[in-house]
Amino acid sequence: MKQLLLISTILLLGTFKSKAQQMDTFLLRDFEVKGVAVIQNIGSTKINLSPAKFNTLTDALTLQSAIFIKQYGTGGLANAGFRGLGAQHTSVMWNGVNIQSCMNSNLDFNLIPLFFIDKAGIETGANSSSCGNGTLAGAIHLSNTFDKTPIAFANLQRGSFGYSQIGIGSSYQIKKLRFKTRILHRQAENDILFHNKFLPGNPTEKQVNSAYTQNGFLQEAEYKAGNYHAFNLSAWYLENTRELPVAMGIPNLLKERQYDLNGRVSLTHKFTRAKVANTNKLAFLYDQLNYYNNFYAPSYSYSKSLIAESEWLIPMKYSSSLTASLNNNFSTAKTDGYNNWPQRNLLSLWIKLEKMSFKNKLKYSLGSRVLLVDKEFAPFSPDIAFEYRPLTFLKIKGNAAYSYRVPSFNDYYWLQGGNKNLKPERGNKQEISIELQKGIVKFAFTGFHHIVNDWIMWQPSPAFSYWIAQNARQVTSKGIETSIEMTKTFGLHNLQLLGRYQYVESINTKIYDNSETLLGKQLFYTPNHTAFATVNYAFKNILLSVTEQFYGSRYTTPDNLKASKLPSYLLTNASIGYLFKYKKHDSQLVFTVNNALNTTYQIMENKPMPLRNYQITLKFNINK
Amino acid sequence: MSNNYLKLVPVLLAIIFASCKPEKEETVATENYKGVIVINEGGFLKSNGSVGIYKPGSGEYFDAFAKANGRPLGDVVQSVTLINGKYYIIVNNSNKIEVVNQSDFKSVTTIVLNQPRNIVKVSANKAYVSQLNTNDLSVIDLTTNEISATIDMKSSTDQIVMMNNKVYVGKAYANMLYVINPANDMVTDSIVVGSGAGTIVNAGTDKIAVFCLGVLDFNNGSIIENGKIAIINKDSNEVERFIPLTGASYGGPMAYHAGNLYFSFGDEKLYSVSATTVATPTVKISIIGGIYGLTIDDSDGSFYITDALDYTSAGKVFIYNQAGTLVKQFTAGVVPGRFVFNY
Repeated sequence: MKQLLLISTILLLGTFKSKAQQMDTFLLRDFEVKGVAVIQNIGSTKINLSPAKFNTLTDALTLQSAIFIKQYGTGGLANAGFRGLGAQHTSVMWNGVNIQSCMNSNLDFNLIPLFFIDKAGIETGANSSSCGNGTLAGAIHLSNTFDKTPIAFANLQRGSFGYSQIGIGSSYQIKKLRFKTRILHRQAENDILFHNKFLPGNPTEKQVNSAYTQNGFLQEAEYKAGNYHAFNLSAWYLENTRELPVAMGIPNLLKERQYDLNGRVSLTHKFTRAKVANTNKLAFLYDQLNYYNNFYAPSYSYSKSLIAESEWLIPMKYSSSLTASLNNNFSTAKTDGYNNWPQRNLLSLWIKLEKMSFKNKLKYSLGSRVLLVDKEFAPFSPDIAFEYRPLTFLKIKGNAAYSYRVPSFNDYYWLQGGNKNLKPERGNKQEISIELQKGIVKFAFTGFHHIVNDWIMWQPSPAFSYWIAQNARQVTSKGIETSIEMTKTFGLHNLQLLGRYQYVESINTKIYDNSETLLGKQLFYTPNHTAFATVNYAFKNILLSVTEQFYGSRYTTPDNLKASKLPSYLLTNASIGYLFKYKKHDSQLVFTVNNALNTTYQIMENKPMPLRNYQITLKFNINK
Repeated sequence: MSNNYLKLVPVLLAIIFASCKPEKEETVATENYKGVIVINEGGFLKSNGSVGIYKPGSGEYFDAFAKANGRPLGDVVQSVTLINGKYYIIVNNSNKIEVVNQSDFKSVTTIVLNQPRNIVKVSANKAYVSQLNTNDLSVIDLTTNEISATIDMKSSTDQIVMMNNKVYVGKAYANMLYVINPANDMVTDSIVVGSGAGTIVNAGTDKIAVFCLGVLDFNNGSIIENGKIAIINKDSNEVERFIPLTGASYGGPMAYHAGNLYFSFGDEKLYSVSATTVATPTVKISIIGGIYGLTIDDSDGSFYITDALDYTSAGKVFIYNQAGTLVKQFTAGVVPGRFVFNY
């Protein structure tokens, strides 16, 4: 069957030339070209983030969406499971390249400084067809662009707990070559105060062993050859040194430390004509993680990935287009837990057909990706999507897709417990959305349903006396997402209101081993309710903002032990800013109070989070 | 028109937030701290260890320490030992011993020391505490509950028992026992046992038994050396004989009752073998899952067997009678390991 599907796809590709020769007057701009728009897929749920407003990807996600971020204390590991699924089910794309670790299919959001990002968005309904392996729940899209770049810019910050940031950048041009350079230094002591519930009277204590330092640069270059060809080079270097604080109730004897080094380079060639767009990409990713503590030998891990991709967008007759992409991803990694450097090659072919009908009121697409993992085919992953605008203020959209995630290197190659008999996780999902926009009000409502089969988990194996990666269960996630947004300007006043809410049930619907007590249980650290609301007010050059974040109670154990349930919490952040303008140049001074109501809360069990704290930010842009 | 929309915002947000109130926590009615004390280690580095009480009659179970003291215990609750009317609760990775009243579990004091593992009373007013990651074995003055002295063991220590006025202390991560004279706190002897030495028990009144777990290949989990049980004579401090076993593991419990030793390599089988006569181990009980903890109630010989499941969920406790028939089962805390009986 798989072979037949591959042959069908190849035949479909075989039509590529003949269709391309029949190009009509279809305009490319009607379909947003990948790389220009942050997110381009039809039918999915998208939220544009404003990377310039935030420090890390964690900050942007928590303060602009209702997505629950699992954060192991301030500055600690942070990741998110969209729609109640795992962190490994959300792809993180940088300039179209998935930068999740091939070793554990994860990425620490606290290690992504948004000073290095120009455009960002989240797509909670993304799928494996468009974003590749592992996109079962959603995708985060990060990209760099030369658009609206000042010749010099800076983002300087100071804050509580020894926090400081110096981010400076410059763009310049030498003949047809444009350059942009960004340099970043961030550090914090993170010696937050917290109430220690393990001691009588819950005394206030100061967190220790929690400092971090981050240094890096991002160098970009752009060269436009004639009217049709453009070359972009992005080189990302980031070093992070951080201490790992222990949970409450544990003395800091281990003094765990972690050093991360991320090197990312992408070279992109774009060829754009009125009737064809071609993007060729070459990327190299290098990740290193060193772990140290005071008692045991350090551990080191390294991974390298080389990615090559060629993508073609061909307009066709009848307001339709064909996108075809061939992608090869070669990865290798080394750690104490592996033998030598295991390698893996992912070769995939992606085809998507898009069409507009009914005077462009209806857009729909049909896509599929065929993936060859070394010599094995991954599960077939077609998707279908539509967007229909029957009235000017109403849009209805939806999509359905099959998806998959191949096991990570750790799942597969780890000496004790890695399992080469693992099957890829297989998912399917359906979602439908309604968007209304009338006057100053925008409203959106989405219902979604995901199933993930053969979910890979590490389970203790009494027979082997250690933990083993297994296809352990089926998880069904369903829920709703809704948002409302209003913007009103009256005179010199501008008022913006934004609210988002998500309800999700993420349940074990099948258990493949003897853990029957987990059947029907909500995945732990997955709140049913999350909500977010913000009010932004501007008067002349003064900016005021108040944000409320609500996270419902979460189980901390897979069996939903009520005694270990973490309570819900509401956080309030407030800021006031002033915008200075001098000729073409602008500057902004912002004072922020985080956790203004001094709420004691925990995201992960016994990991303290900061009480009320402050931050001051000075940004300036020197424009031509 | 637009202003009407604006008015709707606070209403919508109020509805959203009002629907998200935290749930009320469940409470347990009982105030009686008698019953089966369950030692739940909790997940390593999770600080969710606990000491619970199970009432065999009613089947009730509650977190005794948290209930009595209004705070959680800490990380890796290793052991609970009754000494002079007080429970000494060793919280290994929280570097402390919580001392509570036997009657009401109210906190008496907290002894802070490095990585405590097990405690044994060695005289009327003195107890020894074994410790990991330090060469010290601490001597506790039971009248003040303070550390009165330390004994230099030249290595970390773990299991500890007393017999015949001698204290037997297992060297951690090694194949050796030390013998200490509690009268003068001097190390008087050492005994080489087998690879992977773990649980040490008093086997009757005249023998010490040590469960040696064998050696596994780190790369593939295959057995390099089978486990064995060392039987030590209390007078000579020498290994009288080894009981050869088939199997090896990184961990598994052992207990003694009425002339027999019961042990498991952590899989689904609990074996029985005579401690006094030469015999081959036989399977006494099989469960579905893995045996993590084992304690035998000497009053009736019933087996309290635990399954830690996935080490993050609440573990299961199975109670079998001496004949090996499952009598009851209940859910305890995270990673239940051992029991103390206080009826």
